[in-house]
Amino acid sequence: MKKFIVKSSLFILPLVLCFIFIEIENRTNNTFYAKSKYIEDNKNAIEVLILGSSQTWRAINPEYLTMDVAPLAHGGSALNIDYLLFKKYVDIFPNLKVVILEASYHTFEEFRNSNWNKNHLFHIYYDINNYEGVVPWSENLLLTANPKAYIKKIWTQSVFPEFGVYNNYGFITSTKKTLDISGYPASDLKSRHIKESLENYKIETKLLANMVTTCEEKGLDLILFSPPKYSTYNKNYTSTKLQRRNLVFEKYKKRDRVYIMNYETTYQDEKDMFYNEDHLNIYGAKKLTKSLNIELEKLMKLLKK
Amino acid sequence: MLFNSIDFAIFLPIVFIGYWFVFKHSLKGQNILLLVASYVFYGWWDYRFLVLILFSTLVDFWIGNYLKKTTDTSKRKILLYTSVFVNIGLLGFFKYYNFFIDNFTAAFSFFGSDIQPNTLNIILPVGISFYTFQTLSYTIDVYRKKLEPTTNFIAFAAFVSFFPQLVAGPIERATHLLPQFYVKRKFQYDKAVDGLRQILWGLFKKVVIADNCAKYANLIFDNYDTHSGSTLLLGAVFFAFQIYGDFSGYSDIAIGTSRLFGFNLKQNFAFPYFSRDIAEFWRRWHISLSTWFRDYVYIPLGGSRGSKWNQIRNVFIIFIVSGFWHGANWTFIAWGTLNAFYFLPLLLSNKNRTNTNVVAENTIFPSVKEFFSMLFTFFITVLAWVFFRAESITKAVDYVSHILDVSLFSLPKIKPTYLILLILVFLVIEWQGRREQYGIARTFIRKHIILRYSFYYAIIIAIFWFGGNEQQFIYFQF
Repeated sequence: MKKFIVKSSLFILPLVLCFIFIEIENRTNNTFYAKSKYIEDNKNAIEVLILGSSQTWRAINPEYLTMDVAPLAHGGSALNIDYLLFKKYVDIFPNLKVVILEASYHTFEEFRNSNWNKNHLFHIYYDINNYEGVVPWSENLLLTANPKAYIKKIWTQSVFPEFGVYNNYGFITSTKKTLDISGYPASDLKSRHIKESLENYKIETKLLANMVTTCEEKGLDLILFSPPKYSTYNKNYTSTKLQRRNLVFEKYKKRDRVYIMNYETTYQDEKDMFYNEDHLNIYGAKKLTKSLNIELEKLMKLLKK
Repeated sequence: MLFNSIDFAIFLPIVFIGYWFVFKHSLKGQNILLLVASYVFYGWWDYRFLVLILFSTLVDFWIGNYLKKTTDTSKRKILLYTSVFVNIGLLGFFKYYNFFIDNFTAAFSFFGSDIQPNTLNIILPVGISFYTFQTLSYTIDVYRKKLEPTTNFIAFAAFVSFFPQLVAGPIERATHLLPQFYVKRKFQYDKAVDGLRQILWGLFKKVVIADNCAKYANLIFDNYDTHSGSTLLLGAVFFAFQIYGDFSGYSDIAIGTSRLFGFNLKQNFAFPYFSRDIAEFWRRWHISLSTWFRDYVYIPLGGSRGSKWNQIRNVFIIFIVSGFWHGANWTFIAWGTLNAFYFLPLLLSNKNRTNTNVVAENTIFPSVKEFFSMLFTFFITVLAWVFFRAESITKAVDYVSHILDVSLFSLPKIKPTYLILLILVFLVIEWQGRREQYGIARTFIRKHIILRYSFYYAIIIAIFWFGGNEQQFIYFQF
């Protein structure tokens, strides 16, 4: 027995050491960590909370904003995750004035359930629980939550050092590529966000209504924001799905503290601004953020008055 | 709890330490620990269904003991039928209720009578097909006086719920496994190491081969009407490796885990894709189920004795029942029937026991004849798997007819090179280990310690590298 324990321990030891190294290396080297660290260090100064999916994350580079922001838009996020972040941080930032919430074409028909493979990141870095009941223990470590992804990440980063480079705000600064639509198979162009879900729409619009009410109660301005998309993406809209999203705009644009900022078609023919059909590259993000900054400054001035 | 989960990676060492250190000197303690661990293992999925296992255990324990007390033939028969009724009843209700209701409704509608039956929203308890067959084997063997009924309830309950093989087999016979719970297990270094090695190989089969094949098999099967014959054939081949990797991988982990605790389970897969005819395939595929049906259904029906007509009837019964065991869908029945048709020519020409040895037993490579026999057997097996995988018989027939059209000779559009290479490497390893219990039982680099350990680490890296998130084992649904 002793021989078995010793030998199997010796066999496992290098693996355990590797796992510890990978966990430590990944733990402080990702955009979630950068964002959570930034908002922790600046929570008293933050005036704008940004929520949304990767479309918003890749569209707003806080470097070009003149106010302090909490850049909490994330790849794959859906409104129910944004809602959990909103609920948590709306009371933590004492100087908060504006909430920017993504309201893209697809926003209200996506939902992330308890099995979503990024739940652990929201749990680890923001203490957000999107599980049913107690957080499974394996979700407390990156490596146990998704071993394959984090082992691969170490490998990818060592082979491609330019992979996933980001700034202090967790904004990816390495997406310099410009859109080459000719390289896309036609099927790919038609397959983005085509799924419709009335069930999710009902859930997500209810959450939005709660957010609007909370903002009004707390005297916050809410911007429903749709980042730029390329023309091929816009052409593939399903009319019923678009109508449902536009109904949301119609409903809330009359409210005093709600603003609609829809950039969907603003730059739709400027392919040099895009990384792919529905995500800006760093140049596009710079241009958009500067433009957005002007709007936000105007809004801030109004608020001060 | 899944074998390929972090939960199990924590659970197993805890039970192992408790078993060999805390209860080292107490057989009863070890059995209680195994029983508790097994219930935790099962309850991890859904604790409510533990009641079913307990119920099945109590019924068969009681019937077994009652069978010993009575010599009255009719009473003994009633007891046996009670056990069969309870176990098959549980299985029938949870697995087949909606199937029968739907089909009766369809039959009545066909004859112009519209009925509105109540279908139920039933969850299929994991592993019910396995543990009900295991407990049934106990009662039948006690009835046949092949086995003394046990008076040790803990040992019996631990036998029924033994966690390594509880949810997906191998289906152990009471005559083989139950006596192992009566005797003191002694830790054996070689056996434990062999167990770990088999677990490792099982994980590789499941996580690397099955789960990766599943991705492409699903992709192709879900849109089969848009693909060429060659792509569809590749999809069916991927499914063949998916189901083999999945199920035999589970069996390897189950057998390996049992060995860590000093138990021996029977081999469940003996390299079936190296079979030279379909009869050999069925001697090598899911052996514990095939032999269960052979001993408790086929032989009582007369087996291969009697007239040719009876033999044919028995073959069809056994294959159709076996197909139906896999699921409440006509596709499984069609799969079983197709295999019966494959088997028939061998039976009628008395060639069903031609290939009973290991292929190329004393040579490295197979002969040309053996190679083509294996290839042909594999091909017809793959065609049968289409019925197993498809959602309906119509779709399966459509899929097969698409395979066999002229586009079969075009290049497949989906051809993941990495996966094809992985399968080839896998086949080479399995081929070199075909004389053993599992692929890497005696690795070709056994004598070189550095090479051997590098090989093991390479398998571990592959498991993490190619593995996705935890996927359920296919056979859990049966």
